[in-house]
Amino acid sequence: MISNPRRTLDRSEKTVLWLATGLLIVVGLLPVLAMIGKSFLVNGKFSLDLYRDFLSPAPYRKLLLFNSVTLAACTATASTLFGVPLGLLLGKTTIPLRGLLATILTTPLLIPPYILATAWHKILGSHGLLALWLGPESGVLTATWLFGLPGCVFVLSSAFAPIVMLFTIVQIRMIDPRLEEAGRLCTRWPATLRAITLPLMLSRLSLPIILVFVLALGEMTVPSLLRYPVLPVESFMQFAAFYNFGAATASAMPLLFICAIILYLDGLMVNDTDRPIRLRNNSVLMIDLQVWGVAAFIVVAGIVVLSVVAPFFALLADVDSPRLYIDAFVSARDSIVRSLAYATAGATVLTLVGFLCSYIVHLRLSPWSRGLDFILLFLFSLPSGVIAIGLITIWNTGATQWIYSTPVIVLFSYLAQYSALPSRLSQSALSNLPPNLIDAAKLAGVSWFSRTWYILLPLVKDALLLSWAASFIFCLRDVGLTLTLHPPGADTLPVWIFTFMPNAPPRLISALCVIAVVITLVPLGLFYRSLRRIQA
Amino acid sequence: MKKRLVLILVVLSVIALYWSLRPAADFVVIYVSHDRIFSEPVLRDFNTDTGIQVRAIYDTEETKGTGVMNRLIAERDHPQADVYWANEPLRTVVLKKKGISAPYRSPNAVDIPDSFKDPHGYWTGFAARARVLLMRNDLKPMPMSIAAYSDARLQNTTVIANPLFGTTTTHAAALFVLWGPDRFRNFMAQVKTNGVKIASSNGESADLIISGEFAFGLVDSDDAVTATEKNTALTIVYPDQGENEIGCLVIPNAVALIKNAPHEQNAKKLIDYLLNKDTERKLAFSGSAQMPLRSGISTPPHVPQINKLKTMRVDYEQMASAIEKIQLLLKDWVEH
Repeated sequence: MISNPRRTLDRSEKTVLWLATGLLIVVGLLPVLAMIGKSFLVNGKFSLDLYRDFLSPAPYRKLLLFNSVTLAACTATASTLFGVPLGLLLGKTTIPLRGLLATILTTPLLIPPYILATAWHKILGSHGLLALWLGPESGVLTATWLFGLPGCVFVLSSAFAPIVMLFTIVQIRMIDPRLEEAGRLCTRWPATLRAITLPLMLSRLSLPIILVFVLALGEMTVPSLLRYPVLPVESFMQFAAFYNFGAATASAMPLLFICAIILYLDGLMVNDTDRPIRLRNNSVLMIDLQVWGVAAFIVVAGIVVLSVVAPFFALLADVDSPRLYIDAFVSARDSIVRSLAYATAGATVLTLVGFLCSYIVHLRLSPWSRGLDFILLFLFSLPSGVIAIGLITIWNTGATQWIYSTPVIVLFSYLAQYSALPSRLSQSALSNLPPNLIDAAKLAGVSWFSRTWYILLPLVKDALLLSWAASFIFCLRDVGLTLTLHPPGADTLPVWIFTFMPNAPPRLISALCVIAVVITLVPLGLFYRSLRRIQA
Repeated sequence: MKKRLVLILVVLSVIALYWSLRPAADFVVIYVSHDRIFSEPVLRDFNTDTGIQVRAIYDTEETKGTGVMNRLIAERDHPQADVYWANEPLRTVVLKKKGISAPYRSPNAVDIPDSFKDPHGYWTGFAARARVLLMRNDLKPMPMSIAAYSDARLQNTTVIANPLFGTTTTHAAALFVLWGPDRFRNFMAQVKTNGVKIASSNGESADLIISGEFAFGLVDSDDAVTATEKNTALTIVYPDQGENEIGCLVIPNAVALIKNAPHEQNAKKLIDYLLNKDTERKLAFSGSAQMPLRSGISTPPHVPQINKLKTMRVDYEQMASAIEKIQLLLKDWVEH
């Protein structure tokens, strides 16, 4: 593990890391600071008026905060309870068709949760498909369940559990099989799992749990559709009903404190010193399920049917002709190309900057390393509207039109909001590396670039690939940032879908959602292929 | 493999950046709050007829149609948009108040009634929706007025979209202006006591009536027309048409020129195009079923001529001022 309290830096190392930090501050932090500044101005004068409600919250705001935290906690818990066992089954056992099952289970992550909620509404609504089959009484029952906390948790968990599942699979690959082999010499698999595999893996599961928690905390579209009042709605209301940017920012400030608490808890959970070192992920010691494989397959297939096939069936049921896919593709082809271009460029930049940030945070290269981690997580949790309007405030100037009126501003927004994702994934990989590798090269006089290019990057390349794929997915499915910042006439597919949804034929929207999933599956396929290659 | 992948990523990134910096053609930038499915064909026709490329930014239901408004306000110092096509005049009144729009009197708007135009030319209305009651055919008593929301016989059967957003805010502001603060507060309190359900949008209100969960609700006429196509057991009533009644609220689209628009000449051409009679005819025959503000424009059977309706007499400037007064009241009404 690399856990130097402070290291001396090369000039080139210092320059690059300062550039990465500076970029993040200018692109991510400055716009938010500008918005926070606005929140202290009322009629052009300094005032704490917008924070009065925050400092002494009304009962309704307390309820919103309570609901938000409850929803986030329940979603994170449910995602973990489903994601970890699924990850174990698909990454550690000989369950049949595990690659295919893992890919299918990942698909809900690829589409905006709002569309997933709409699909579930088509099934569980009072006049949904279930009510058609089982009678209106069952429809009333399912609708009562869907509209409220249980429905929100169900939809968001089905959307975010793949994060935990994928991360569990990756963590399994990082466990040194020799440790498990040693365990297997004296005991059976259940005890080996309990005593060796799970403790090694669970200490690193804070990352996906935090991601799911923060994603659910900032989620507004699903609770809004399923009528569960949460805090982000308050921020949105200030934008939408009052056009009050300062108040919108002030109402998002409780998230700052929640993030601080999460980071503190995360610091308590992760203990680098108890993690064995593993340099390459050459093999995984698989559990041979033998006859239980079929039973496990049936269970996982049941989850696949419930969480993926059912909502997609609801979408596909609308598409009554294959011709519709062609029509949908033709009408949205420019947006599809732009989506892929923005997401590719965004994921590439995010992976690079995320890696450099993780390098700073993990090596604790400065006294403010932990602060950088906090900033990244805070930006990740902020409502996209706050970041987007902040970016407009900073970058819509006469001298910076080459940024603001081009897709560069979209890249900036991705960088501002999503850097926590690749940074955290890279940190996870860096924590597996022994510091003496880098230090030995440094002592031998190898430059920082060479050390990074020839030693560090090859060792963390799997994590970088995962970072790229995760960033790509988040950029591709983004609506909030792209909607507010995309250059005129240059929208993306999710924006195209969302702007077409009101009053458009549902079958066209359903066809577009299916296309959105397909175009996102391509990089996942590459990712899966790459994992298979490593496994082979 | 790795090098090839890196190369592909770099090439794609460069293409994306190059594409974004390509030289501009003759174009106009418009921000649109009207539903994309109905507005895009009109803008496409403008492109075909004039050769001027239209670069549009559309709004979504998710942001309650205020996403582009926020963007216009945030871009005030360096506007990117040339034209704003609002789905209701109050948004353009806000822009006027904030100094974001500029006056322009289109020659094509001469025959549009003055009540649908800003007196100083900051916005011009065209093609309107009405606020109508959507209800089941068999509902007894059949509501003919928005006062039915406070009718005890219809307790717990009514639905209304969240009045903090969209045209329901506009409607609340109109009632506030028309009735005055006391009567407005009393009415809203009675509506709440009568067990009204608050939906997230007019579309959701219509869906809840289609599904039979609620008996009637106040929605926009385009949502109502779509609902009756989905469920033939529903009826549309234009409320308050009696002699001493207030009439139904009509909400036109509105178009505004943005101050310091980067492409002002093209912007004026586009505004002229939107305000011609043919655009109103197209919007009447489209799924949005909007009423032309001028007489002599053909409409389909389900779209009434505006001169056949008793409409609410309201001043949009006053309504915009009223919104500022009632927002906190409405917020409180929704939350408690």
